[in-house]
Amino acid sequence: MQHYYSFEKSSIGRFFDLINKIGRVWAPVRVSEASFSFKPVSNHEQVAFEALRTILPPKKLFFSPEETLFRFDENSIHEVSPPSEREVLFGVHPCDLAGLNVMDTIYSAHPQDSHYMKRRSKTLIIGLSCLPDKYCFCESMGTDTPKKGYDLFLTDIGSHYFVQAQTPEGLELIDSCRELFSPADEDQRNRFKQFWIYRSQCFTNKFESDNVPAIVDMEWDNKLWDELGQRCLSCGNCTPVCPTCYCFDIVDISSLDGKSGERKREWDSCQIVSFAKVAGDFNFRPGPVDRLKFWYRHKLHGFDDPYGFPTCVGCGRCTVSCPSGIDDIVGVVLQLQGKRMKEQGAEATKGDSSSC
Amino acid sequence: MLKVKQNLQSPFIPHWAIIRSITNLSEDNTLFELQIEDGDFSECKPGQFVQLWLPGVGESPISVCSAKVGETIELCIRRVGRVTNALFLLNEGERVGLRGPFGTGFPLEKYKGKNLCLIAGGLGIAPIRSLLQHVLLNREDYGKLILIYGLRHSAQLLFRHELKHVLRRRDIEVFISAEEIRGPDLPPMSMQLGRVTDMLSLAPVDESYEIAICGPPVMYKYVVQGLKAKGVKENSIWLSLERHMKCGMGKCGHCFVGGRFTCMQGPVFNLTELRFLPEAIECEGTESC
Amino acid sequence: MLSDLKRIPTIAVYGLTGCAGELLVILENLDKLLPFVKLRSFPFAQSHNEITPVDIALIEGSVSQPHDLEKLKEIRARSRWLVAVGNCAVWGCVQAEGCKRFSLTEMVSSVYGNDSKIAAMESKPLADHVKVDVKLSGCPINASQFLAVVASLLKDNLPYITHKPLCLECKLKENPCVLIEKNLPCLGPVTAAGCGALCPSMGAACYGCWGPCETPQMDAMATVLLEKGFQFDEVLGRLTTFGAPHDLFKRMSEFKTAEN
Repeated sequence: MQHYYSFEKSSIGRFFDLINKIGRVWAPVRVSEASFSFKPVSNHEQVAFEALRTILPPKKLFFSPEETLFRFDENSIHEVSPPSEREVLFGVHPCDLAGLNVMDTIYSAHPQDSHYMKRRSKTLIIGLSCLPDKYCFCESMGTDTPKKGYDLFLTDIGSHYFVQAQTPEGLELIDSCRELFSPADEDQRNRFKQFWIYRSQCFTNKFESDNVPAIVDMEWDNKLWDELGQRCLSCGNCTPVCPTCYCFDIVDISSLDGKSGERKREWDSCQIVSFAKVAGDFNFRPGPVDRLKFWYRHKLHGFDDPYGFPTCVGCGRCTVSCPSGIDDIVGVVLQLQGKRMKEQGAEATKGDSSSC
Repeated sequence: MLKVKQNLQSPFIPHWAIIRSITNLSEDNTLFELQIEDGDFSECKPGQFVQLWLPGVGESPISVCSAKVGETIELCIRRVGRVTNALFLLNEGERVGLRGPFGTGFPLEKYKGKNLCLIAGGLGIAPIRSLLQHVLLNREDYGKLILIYGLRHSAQLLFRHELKHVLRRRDIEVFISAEEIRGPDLPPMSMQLGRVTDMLSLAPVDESYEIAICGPPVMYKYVVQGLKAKGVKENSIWLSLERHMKCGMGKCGHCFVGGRFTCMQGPVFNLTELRFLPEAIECEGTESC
Repeated sequence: MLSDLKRIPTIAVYGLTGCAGELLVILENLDKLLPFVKLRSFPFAQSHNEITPVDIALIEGSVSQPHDLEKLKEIRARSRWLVAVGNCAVWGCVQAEGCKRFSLTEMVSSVYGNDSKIAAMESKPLADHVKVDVKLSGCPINASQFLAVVASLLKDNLPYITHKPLCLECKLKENPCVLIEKNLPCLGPVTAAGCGALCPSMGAACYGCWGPCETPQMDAMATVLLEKGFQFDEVLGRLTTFGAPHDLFKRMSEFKTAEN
């Protein structure tokens, strides 16, 4: 059973003092007029509480953009393990929690990815409520409430943060400073419920999701894909920004003596021409249309087997990160569903974070 | 917080193996016999694959080529990419890495007691050879047996000495074809001019057969058409898919087809399953067989 | 294998028409190479140079004059591996596509005077004249990529050089997108990665100095820039300045005809 507490928003400084004692704290920080990034912070003043979506999702903490898997010499192989110091990830919104759950499913499946799992298991995750902007559509993907994957989840209920503690580690944090937290009273519980009702009414970017997997398959030959593919830059921007894109490339780096080296992995993208190319240069997805359609299907239809869930969490990162304006998932779904006609030109994709 | 089991080992660490013998099979194809130094590959099944690692160069997914893997493993490799080119520079006694086995392999249990038709195009003979060996070793478990093996050029024939022995057996019918047959080094066996599909129309395959297919991607569509024309049921047709694979463990995403990881849920799929995976066998290409 | 011959592999470094930027990178990293190779020739860095067969020849610059071509052919004839280093050698750089809009004779006379003895020819990348074994682009090249190329060649293996778009590298550094946020004419989507996304990391647009990525989507890139209000000639000029070959733009020329 979850435990419910609250603390005054004006005490957020003390809350940060507390989590800073656990380990390095990562939180959203503003990096440009329109963009945010999860970065290490030492106090709450550095944190951009208003951040909706960071450029890269929180997966970057667990699935490193670039990491060494092992080093080798002529006779031996030495596994490189991630550092074991505990860390805290603060400010994860429901869509990103859902994204982490997808990543967890892939990387914890047998055989477990030790690099991901070690990073994941040493990190305390603190979620934070948010209000959607015009690009958010987590409600349509069913990922608009925090279900699992957090230790504490903070909901902004005006004067206080309402705190849900879901794990022993989360509860331990609360127990370590009982003067900061008090059990949530009835009024606070009501305000918590009101917040989530209000929030669900705030979505302007949405679609009926029941038939989406069916529609995507039904419209596999829709000419919309060709139109989008014509505009696709194959730049791969949509994949690193996606909370659930888990693909990687592995490369060997040889030293000049020819006897030692290391094996590294780095994020890869299915939108890049060489992604599905096999030896002998046969390419299973040679054109931008093939690749874009593949990506859309994987996001909306997901895994047929064995997991059986879509991998889009409705965060809107691809929509705001596509230079060509073709990753408007909601627009594409509505067009495939026959609810919206083709739009003229590219939709403006500048980061506009006007909340409701 | 996510729980992680103690002493979790990285699945990316290869096991060492030493090249014990190198046998040229054709101009570009060589059989490598590797002595396994550490790790256990004895569970390898026909149709599964391993990741062959050359330190400092990279990994390449290679089909297991023999029915039994014990202290050594046989891999039939075509020199076609960066990693395999580097492998061809190595000598006996040199060291490589291995991970695996990966994938599902051919459905040996489902094949039991049935008539079997094995269809290979080009290098597709490598995994088919492991299956053929398995069937011949356990001949009494299976019914009638047909092997169809198509090549682009007669000089590309692999395992010719083994095939000579197979041809002498009375318990298997063999159909070998090449689109081009010439040269002084004509194989000493009956080879016909034509494609895999031509051999298929000659072979006495009917609805009682279970099928195993491995070959270049473009071959599949035509072979499947040919099989259906002979009344073979879809759920009796098993195909091994080739895909780009980096990890072999359903993580890196390179082999993803439709909704599945080829490396985990494949590479051998039943046709009934493949029909639900977009882009699985219908694709453009330049290779023919 | 080179290492089995019990002799030290030999290398030589040459410059044709270029800015010597790659030669500088090689010079800066020479101390890392020297324990493993014998340097036969490097006219940019030393005065005693031998004209002998070498295992690896590293050549910077494009072929822009008849004596460049003679030199290139002569080096090719005595080298096992010929590596084109830098954009000039791989794509031809500014002096190739970037200068195509001017007439060659007018350029020569306006730069060197009417009675100049300079014998300029149309500037081309190395591969247009001789067989090139490895192409390592950059402006200048990335030192770790360069060392990895040499490490592979010393083992007689072809190096793994990816030509993924710069956008991927830029995103991995988590830079705010200058193409989207600042409407700058950034060529990241069609340019090969490797520089570490230097310009976008400083808030500037990528101008494509590493040359095109693998199968660049030039039409889509042009569409994006035109929709941002840039003029066609400006867009084409920007895309071609660093030697992106002309046949990448076939559909764009049709596009322009249709536009007119």
